[in-house]
Amino acid sequence: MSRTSTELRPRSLGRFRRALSTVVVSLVVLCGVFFTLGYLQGPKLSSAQVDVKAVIDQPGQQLRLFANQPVAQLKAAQVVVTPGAAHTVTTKGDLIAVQFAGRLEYGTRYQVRIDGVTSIYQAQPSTISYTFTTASPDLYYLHRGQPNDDIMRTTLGATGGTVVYSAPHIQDFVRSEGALAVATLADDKTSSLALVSLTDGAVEQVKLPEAGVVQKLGASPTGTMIGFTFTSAGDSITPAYSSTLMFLDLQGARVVAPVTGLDGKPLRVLAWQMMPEGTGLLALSRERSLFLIDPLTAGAVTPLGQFNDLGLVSRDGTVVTVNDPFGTAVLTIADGTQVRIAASPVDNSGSPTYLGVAELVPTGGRVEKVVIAQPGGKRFSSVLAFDDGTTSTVLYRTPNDAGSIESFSISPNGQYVAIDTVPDTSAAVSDGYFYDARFVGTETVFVEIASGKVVKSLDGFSLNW
Amino acid sequence: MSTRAPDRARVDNPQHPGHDHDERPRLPASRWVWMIVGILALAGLLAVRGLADGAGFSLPNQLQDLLTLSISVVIESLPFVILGILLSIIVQVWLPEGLLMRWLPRNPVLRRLCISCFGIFLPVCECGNVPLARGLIVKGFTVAESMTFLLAAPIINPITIVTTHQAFGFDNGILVARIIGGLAIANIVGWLFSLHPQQDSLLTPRFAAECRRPADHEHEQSRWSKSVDLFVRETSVITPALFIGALVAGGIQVLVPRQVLVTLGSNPVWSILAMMVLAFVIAVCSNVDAFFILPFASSFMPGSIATFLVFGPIIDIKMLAILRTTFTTRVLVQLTVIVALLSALIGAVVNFVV
Repeated sequence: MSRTSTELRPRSLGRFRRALSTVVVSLVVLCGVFFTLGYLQGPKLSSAQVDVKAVIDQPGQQLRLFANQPVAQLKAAQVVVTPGAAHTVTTKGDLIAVQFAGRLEYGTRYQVRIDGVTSIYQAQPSTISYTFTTASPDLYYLHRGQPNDDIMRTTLGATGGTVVYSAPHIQDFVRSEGALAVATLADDKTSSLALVSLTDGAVEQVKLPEAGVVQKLGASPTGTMIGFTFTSAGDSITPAYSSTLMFLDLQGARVVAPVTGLDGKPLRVLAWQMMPEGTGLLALSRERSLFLIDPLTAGAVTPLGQFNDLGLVSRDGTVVTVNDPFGTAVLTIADGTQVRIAASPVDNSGSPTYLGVAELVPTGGRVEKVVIAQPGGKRFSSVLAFDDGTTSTVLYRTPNDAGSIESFSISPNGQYVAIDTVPDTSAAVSDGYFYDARFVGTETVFVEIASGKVVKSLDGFSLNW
Repeated sequence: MSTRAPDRARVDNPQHPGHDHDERPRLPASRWVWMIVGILALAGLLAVRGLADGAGFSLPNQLQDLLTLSISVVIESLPFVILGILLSIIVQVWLPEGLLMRWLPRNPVLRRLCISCFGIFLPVCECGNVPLARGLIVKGFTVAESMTFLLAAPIINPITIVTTHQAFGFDNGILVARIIGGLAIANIVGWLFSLHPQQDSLLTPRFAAECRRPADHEHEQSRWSKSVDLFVRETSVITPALFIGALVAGGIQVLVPRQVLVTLGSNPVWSILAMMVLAFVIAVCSNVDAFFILPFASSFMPGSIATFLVFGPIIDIKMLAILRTTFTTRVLVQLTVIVALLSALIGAVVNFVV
């Protein structure tokens, strides 16, 4: 038997109303609870952005932390970066931007902790923490073998490497943004120059002005400019090109052209260095005049003085080491001022120390190739040392001091130095290349500058960071 | 007890089985007149807007804003309203009798849960779902069940999910909060109104009368004729409400600068409330509201964004105007209060958890 709707209504409608009231009250209470909890917990990290490759390649990169609400201004002291790295902090809305002054260390786990973060509307503080691991850079080096020579790619943590390009008689190579420039030597002792794409391995031959020899290849790893010296083939007394500095802009028409000096004529050089950023270069002419030149801008030639030799440009492109008859100096490129440098005593031994090539470390101090007298003073050893301006610490010496340090290059972030070394010169045999010959068994050793610890070695040379 | 009356009850039909042909006239001339008036009004608004641009004379800024905002709401919603009406016609006229009912679970909770998922298959925003929900009631769904569909469908329809994902991805749980929140609101509201003993009293008298009309009423008509009849009838009911809602939404946006709400909403305490007010006022379609709110994501807390995205598709000025064609004012007030509180709770939980 069914009841009529009139009979049903009083009781059932009451149930609906009670349920409605209960739901409303419950929701009000729950809203209050969660609003209060949210109010008391302070700002929280919603997301973060950091380019783990860019932070090791470029200074001034940012870690962008997004809070769940607009945050009040922060001071740099509230931000703790572990391991330590110079930084600044800015806030805008819900964004906290931690900007690193320099490049960060390779393959390192960083923790960024920010204490006392408050909303712009409430004083309830909270701590925001974020960790990330930086990338390890790709390293390129030349391994000479039979029948082909190989350009290899590896990383600091890798045990092996992969072949990027293989060809007979590779003289030298350099890495620019997205491509390798590779000089190879033919049987007639002339060079050819090829561009190898790092993305798809495509090879493009570069047309040289005439048959000749390519040497002293150089490029900026982050730029598109490649430079080299070119000497005409043959025995002419008046060759068209003789150690003439040439350049090739990969973004332009890809035509090889000479770099011109103050007189507008092609420049013949003893040495040259590409500036780390942009399209500028430093060239030491045969007349021993040093110029800062931008090959892409007509007339952009700035004389910097007379020097015997050109050392290495600092990673920030502000200074370069130079040699003149009075010794070694650090030359500020912008204003031409010089600061004389001399090698500090190694390990406070008091033994005479003789300075060779020096390069400034981005994080402070210098890495120097120095010659030191061994106890007794009858023998001398060539070592690589870190000089903080007061004292030098040996970073690397060949086993039993039997070998030689050929050259070295500091990683862009100043964390490591890669050393071209021949372990034992008494047993070393040349590979017989007519140009750019090297000893068989030349290897590259990686040393951490801060600790002096050898972290890696590989069979090859011409390391490109 | 197992067949508790309120939940399973269909709209009462006290007049049945008597045929009352006057209760639902075929196509009264007034409907045609109103439809023509509506079309002319829309054309007039567009013409005024176009002439103002082309002929060199300019309307007062506020009037221009009012026209632009109102027309944009209408243009944005109209295709979905038409689509919703067409789907409603399919459900009412073309689907075999009892097809939907046959496949739904008998358990009321599971049944509403299934109904709340109907929207996954329907790319229709909130305005378009109103005629479809009306069609479901006519077809025999309870008001509570139809309401469950109506609240969930605009949030879990495929276009809304895709656009929300494109705008926010899975950041801060906004997408998840929107989908789960939308389903939760729909089912809670559906459960609550299923307790109401008089389902037909939730409807406007006019629509309740339409629902009481027996199914064999139009036995002389062909399906095509019924479809045309339904299309004209639903269009004449829904579109005026849409126009009025759009006009009110545009008017309030002109009178209350959006910046006021944005400033208010930057405060974590008020941001959720501000976002609900913003959603209520701007009346943007659920298919695109994620892109609308995306620029605010950097200055608003994630919870307030989630609140905007669950509250807006259910309750806004335009929707209330359209819903008023179907539900009584009392029901709309109760619905608004419950949905607002649930949306605020979802926002507060997201802010706390994320």
